[in-house]
Amino acid sequence: MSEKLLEIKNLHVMYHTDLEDVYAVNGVNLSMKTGETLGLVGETGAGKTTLALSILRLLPDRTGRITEGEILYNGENLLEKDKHTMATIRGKEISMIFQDPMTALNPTQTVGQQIYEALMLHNNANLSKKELWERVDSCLEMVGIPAARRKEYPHQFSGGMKQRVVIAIALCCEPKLLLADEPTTALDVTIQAQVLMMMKNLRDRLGTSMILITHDLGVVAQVCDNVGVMYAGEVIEYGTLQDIFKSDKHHPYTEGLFGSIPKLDEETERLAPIDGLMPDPTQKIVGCSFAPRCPYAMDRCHTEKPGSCNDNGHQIKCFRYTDETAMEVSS
Amino acid sequence: MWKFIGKRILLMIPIIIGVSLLVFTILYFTPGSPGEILAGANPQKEVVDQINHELGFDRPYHVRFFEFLKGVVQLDFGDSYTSRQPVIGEILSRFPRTLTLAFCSMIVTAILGISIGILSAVKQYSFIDYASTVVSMFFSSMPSFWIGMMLLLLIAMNNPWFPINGVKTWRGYILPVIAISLCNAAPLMRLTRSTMLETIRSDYVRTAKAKGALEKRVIWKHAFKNALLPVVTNIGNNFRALLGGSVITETVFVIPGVGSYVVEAIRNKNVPSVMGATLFLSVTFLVVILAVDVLYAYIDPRIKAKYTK
Amino acid sequence: MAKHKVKATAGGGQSQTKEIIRRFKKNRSAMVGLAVFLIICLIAIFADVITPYSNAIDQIKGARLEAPSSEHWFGTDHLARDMFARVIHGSRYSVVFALVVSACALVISVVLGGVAGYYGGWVDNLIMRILDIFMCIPGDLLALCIVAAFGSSLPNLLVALIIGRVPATVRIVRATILGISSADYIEAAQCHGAKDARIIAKYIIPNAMGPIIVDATVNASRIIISVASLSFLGLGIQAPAPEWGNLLASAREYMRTCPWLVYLPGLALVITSLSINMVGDGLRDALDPKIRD
Repeated sequence: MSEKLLEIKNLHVMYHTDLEDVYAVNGVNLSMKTGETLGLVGETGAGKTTLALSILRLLPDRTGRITEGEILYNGENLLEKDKHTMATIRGKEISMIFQDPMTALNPTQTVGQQIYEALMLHNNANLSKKELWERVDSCLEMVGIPAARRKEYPHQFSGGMKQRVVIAIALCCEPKLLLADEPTTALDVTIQAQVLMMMKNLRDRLGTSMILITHDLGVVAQVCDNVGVMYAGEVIEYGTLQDIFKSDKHHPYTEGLFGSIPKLDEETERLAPIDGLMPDPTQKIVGCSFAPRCPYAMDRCHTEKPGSCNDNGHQIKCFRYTDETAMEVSS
Repeated sequence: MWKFIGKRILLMIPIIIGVSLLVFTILYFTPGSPGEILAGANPQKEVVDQINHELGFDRPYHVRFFEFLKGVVQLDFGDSYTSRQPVIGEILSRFPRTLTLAFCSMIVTAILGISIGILSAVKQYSFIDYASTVVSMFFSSMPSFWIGMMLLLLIAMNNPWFPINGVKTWRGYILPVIAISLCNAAPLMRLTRSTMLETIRSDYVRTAKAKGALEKRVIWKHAFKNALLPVVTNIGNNFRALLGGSVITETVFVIPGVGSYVVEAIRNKNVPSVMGATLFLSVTFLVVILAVDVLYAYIDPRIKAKYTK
Repeated sequence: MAKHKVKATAGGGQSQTKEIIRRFKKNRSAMVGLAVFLIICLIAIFADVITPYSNAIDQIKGARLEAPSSEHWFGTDHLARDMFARVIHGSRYSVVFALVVSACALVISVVLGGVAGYYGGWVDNLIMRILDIFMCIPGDLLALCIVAAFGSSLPNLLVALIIGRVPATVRIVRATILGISSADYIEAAQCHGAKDARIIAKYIIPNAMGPIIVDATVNASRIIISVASLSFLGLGIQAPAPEWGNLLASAREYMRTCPWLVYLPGLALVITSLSINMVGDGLRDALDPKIRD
């Protein structure tokens, strides 16, 4: 077992606005090893993006607040770092690819300048300007864009090309950990596959660890080693790709998630979507967050929070399993 | 770029004709005729008619309009009724003062509005933010002529260093520029603040932070230029208000500029002067707007791409 | 993620209006502004009850340029008239002009801007090009020209100020309507087969009203300043009528010795215009809460 690269302990995040308080992340525990790719799946509003932003401490200044928990990167708590230290970590140690490439680039700077800036900010090797620009060129070529296009502005690029630029910015300093927040959602399906393959190749080449946020289980199956399933701000199931895709034991929500995907090799009359909606995030949840929609819900599910059961690393937060296979129960 | 500027200048022609038509038509209805004004006290009807005929005043509306337009092309707005001098000469001799006043005000307005606006956005909800919002609200509710009077009353009258009227030295410009700038900077500051707030929250600013840029760098290298775009347009459009403001401020501070010239001409029913000065100020505004559009292209590559196409 | 849900929904509707009113009521400065403006309106309506109009016009023998005292709260002017009565009665001009001009400009602009924005094409082009011409004339010069040609009677002044305000307002109305009519929910309604009239009444007007009303309030405060400016130049309301701009114009000569003649009418002007601006600001925030996040 190699050392833990990232460990998130009991993380709570809320958004506080004039109108209401939103509980976005409610007690997430996660850990990942160096070189691993962790997939985070879940529907919109499950707190995936908030989780990623929390790691980089990029939550909106005024509204987003980490109320509890620790984020340990190489054993050091990122939440205790001052902003200068954080700035040296961002981009160099941990970087992020955002969901919407259309708005993620500064419209008034050339793409070259934007990659250059990332390199220049973390220029520990004291490269000269010329050398940095050479790096910019090689970064662009790395993501499949001719270096000559570095003088162009974002509006001259297509969505897929913009996302490549965003990826180039994120990877140009060869970070240890890459947070990819639905990197392909905003793209055409054909481009999605291209960009995904490219990311996969770059990850393997640079040896980057990655957290891939998506709601596309197909993508997860292609790229990830481990998977966390998020629901209402919690990781309700976590395991290896095998555990999630092949095991019989699942959180009822994960079952529902798989039930709502069409399968090509089976004759199904219709899909089995999950009834109901995600709980109102402005309310604090008592009991299991999935209980109102759960077909197996018991009385205690509505009043008590289930701990997570651990079966050789396959963790499920559900009372159906905690009783039988409780080996190592954490909060 | 030059092609764009050329095209814009060509487009100005119909607008100038339109403004001429508008101003001419409104003032066509001015009661009385130049004869009555020029012939002095108790004029004889024949003398009045004679003068009107000489000036072509008895011809129909459209003939007179085209005559006027022909004059405009040759920069000839006719002679002033009161001084009997060519209007264009009178305007040109006064114009530098108005232009200085308006331009200085524009610069001071921009500096005040943009800097305080950004400060207040960056330090949102701080004391500076609240204070500048409240103060700007006060100033945007004040007429510039009252600010001018207050400045005279509170500063110039106790301080001989500031002249009470006229602009014989550069010191004479200080108080009028402050009076115009204060009430124009207030809305500009609020605009800058809100666009800046929006930009700070934009995705690309988050990208810049994720690269590891510190707040200062993010603000100046990324947010500032983008937030400036709507502000620059606003400064251009605001020049209209600045020129308008100079009309009244020149009256308060007794500055012999085009503004006070128009007011004087309106009082005396001096139609050629009113027409000439109004048209002149309108064209000045059009030129400034064009300059701002060109400047805009240098800030925003998307606009530049559109222009050069 | 959760923060995206504040965006206004299509179709307006009761609950949205209620929500806006709730947010407006929560805004303390907006409520203060509204209260102050209502008080000024009351002063304007009951000016004769507070002090008869004759007090604002009649000269008081031997009381020229007196400083404020218990007898004459705001002092007297160079023609020995009671400044308190003049300032009180001056409120009528400001309030009437603010309300009438901004309401008329609003109606005209909604019609013109609505037609231009919703129908587009050559109608839009024609209206906008004509207004471009109006927009080239700096500041209140257009109003000044109208007053110069037609005289400065009350109706002429109203017309001049309305014409001065309309072009900018039409632009805002048009931009708002253009923004809305290209929105997806309008397309959705058209796909459902909704008629033009229904779309305009049910979707466009409720959604466009917000920004347009905010603009009307801003306009109202600008109009107060415009009227005062015109009168200050001697081209607006004519003396001896106690318009605030007039009061300030005649105060110019006596500024050094009798500064209260400048302070008091000016303050009245600023307070009125400020109260309207505070209301407008509160409306803006209530309609568009996203900036406050």
